[in-house]
Amino acid sequence: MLSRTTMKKSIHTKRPKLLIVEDDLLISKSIKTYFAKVNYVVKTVRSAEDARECLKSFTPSAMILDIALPQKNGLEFLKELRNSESWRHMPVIITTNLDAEENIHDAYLLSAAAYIVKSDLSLMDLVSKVTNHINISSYAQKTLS
Amino acid sequence: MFPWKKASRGIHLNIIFLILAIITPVILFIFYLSFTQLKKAEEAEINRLKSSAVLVSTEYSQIVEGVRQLLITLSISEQTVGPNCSSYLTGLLERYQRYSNISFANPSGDVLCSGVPLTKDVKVTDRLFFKSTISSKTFSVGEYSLGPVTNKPIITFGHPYLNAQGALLGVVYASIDLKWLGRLTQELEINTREEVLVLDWKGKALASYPDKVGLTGKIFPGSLNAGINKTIGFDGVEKIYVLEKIGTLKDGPLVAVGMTEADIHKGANDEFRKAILIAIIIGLFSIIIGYIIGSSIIKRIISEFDKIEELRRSFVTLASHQLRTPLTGIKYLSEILISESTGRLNVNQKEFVKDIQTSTHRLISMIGTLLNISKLELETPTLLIETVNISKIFNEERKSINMLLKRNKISFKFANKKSESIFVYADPKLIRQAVSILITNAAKYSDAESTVTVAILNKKNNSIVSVTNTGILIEQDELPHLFDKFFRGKGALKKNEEGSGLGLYLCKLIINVHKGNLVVSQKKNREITFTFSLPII
Repeated sequence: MLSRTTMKKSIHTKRPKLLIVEDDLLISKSIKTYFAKVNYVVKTVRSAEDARECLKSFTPSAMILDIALPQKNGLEFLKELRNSESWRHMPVIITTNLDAEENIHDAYLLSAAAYIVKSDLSLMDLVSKVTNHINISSYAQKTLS
Repeated sequence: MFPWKKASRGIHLNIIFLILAIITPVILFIFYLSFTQLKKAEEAEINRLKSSAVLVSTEYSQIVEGVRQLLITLSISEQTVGPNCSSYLTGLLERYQRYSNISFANPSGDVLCSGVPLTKDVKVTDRLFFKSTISSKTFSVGEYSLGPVTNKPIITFGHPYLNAQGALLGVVYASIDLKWLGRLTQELEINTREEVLVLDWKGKALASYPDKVGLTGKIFPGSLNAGINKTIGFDGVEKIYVLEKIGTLKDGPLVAVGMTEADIHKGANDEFRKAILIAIIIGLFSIIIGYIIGSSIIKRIISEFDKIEELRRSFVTLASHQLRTPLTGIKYLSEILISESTGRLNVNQKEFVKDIQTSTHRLISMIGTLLNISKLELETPTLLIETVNISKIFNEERKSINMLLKRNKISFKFANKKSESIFVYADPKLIRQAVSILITNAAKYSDAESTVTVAILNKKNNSIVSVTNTGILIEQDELPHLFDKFFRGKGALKKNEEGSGLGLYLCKLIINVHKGNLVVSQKKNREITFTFSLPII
């Protein structure tokens, strides 16, 4: 687990970019605030359709993708991402508050970087997880601005 | 948690048993009714025999009456004793085919006049009819005999001829031709299963239906008592005979109507067999219909329950999401506040935000517990069985209760070597939860400065895990209820009012779905041990 200062140090020159796909306003606001404090460039969208639109002009280093989205659900969107050349290797952290274990398998089958139950993990741990995955992803490293 | 799938086979069997239980008394009752009917039918057949006998005897009575009338007329007619009596009698004979002969004899028995011309002197002194008529001085009947004049088989009736002063002048008598009687008998409307015999008072056959050659004159082998007799007939077959007197003569002829018991039973048996067949058909039909209906009712009930289970399952999934989402919001925002990245907090504010976090954490934890319980209470809970390093889980969970242990200076001991890795087959998430509950309970309810001990014993197929601590006393009557849903012991309530009473219940559910058994035992020194087993690799 990285402390806040350590994290700030490692990324103060290159700011990682994060796209949060979450339809609950409270949650997306808190995640955005926290990641912004550790120098991330954060964009939030509320649906898979909006995410698709956003990706046309934004190249995130990583994505936090909720499963329970209006219309197309997160896992279906992840499949779409994995089928596209541009987004195939982007670290995607799947989040959920649902209690359906079959989602875990599906998530990992689609090469999710991590599977997180939101209510169980602290924001700090979320940040360290995302940062770790960005650090180990050659794809993500290229996106740092 | 009703095991519908397991129960399903049993339920189908039960439906069949239920139907059989209902049908059997009904069928037995039908049998019983049919059986009583059988008896009644037999009685009815015998009654029919009786009425047949009465009918036939009435017919013959009329013949006898006819003879009597004729003889009475002759007994007061001067023609009978006159010089032309023979031709007179011959004329009568030509008129009445039934008579073999009509004659007149003097008191000594010499035949003076005969419808059939005499070729020699004939005496009837020894004939029964003559003796009876002389002695009774009234209309009498004789027995089967061969006519003295005609030599034909006959039965003779006699009547005294008295003069104006009442002195006996002789006997006028008529003989019924048995051949004619035989022909008449065939024309009676008699049931083919009945045998009709006309017998004289000694039992000699006069006529029979069906007509049998050479039967006339033979003595009836059976009893001649009036009423119903079971006797062997002329053909050697045992029959039920109903005997009825013809007319009111002393020693007069009889009618015997007979039927074999088999024939008596036959009609009754046919009815009985029909009833049994109907009963069996109804029975089978009812079983099939009952089974079909019963099955479909049961299936419908089961599917209703399945629907409820399905609803519960989807509720569980949905509720988890709906409850956790706002709670996550609170959790994250509290975290942001306490990180002071949105501004410094004073001491009080920090404390309060921490309290919010504690409360939120309790809520999230409670929801998790409730949802896990709900999932495990489903008939077929989903388990993801893997090889799990149970000693590692204990070590990890021990870290989470560090604060709790430190606060009360409680020490935690592993009876096994720390490096020892023990692997079991289990669902890692669930086992972690069970372990967490057990050791958290141990820490929460232990006396200060006491020890919590965990021991894992490896047996051939199982791993026996035990968690021991010394703490609150649980009363004897409370011990068996420890794993009840929402149960809180008195001692536990005192030490920690906030407990939900769900921890041990969930623990037991978890161990149960792993086909293990969670038990508790308490020693006198308030040392309590929770033990369960898990299958080993």
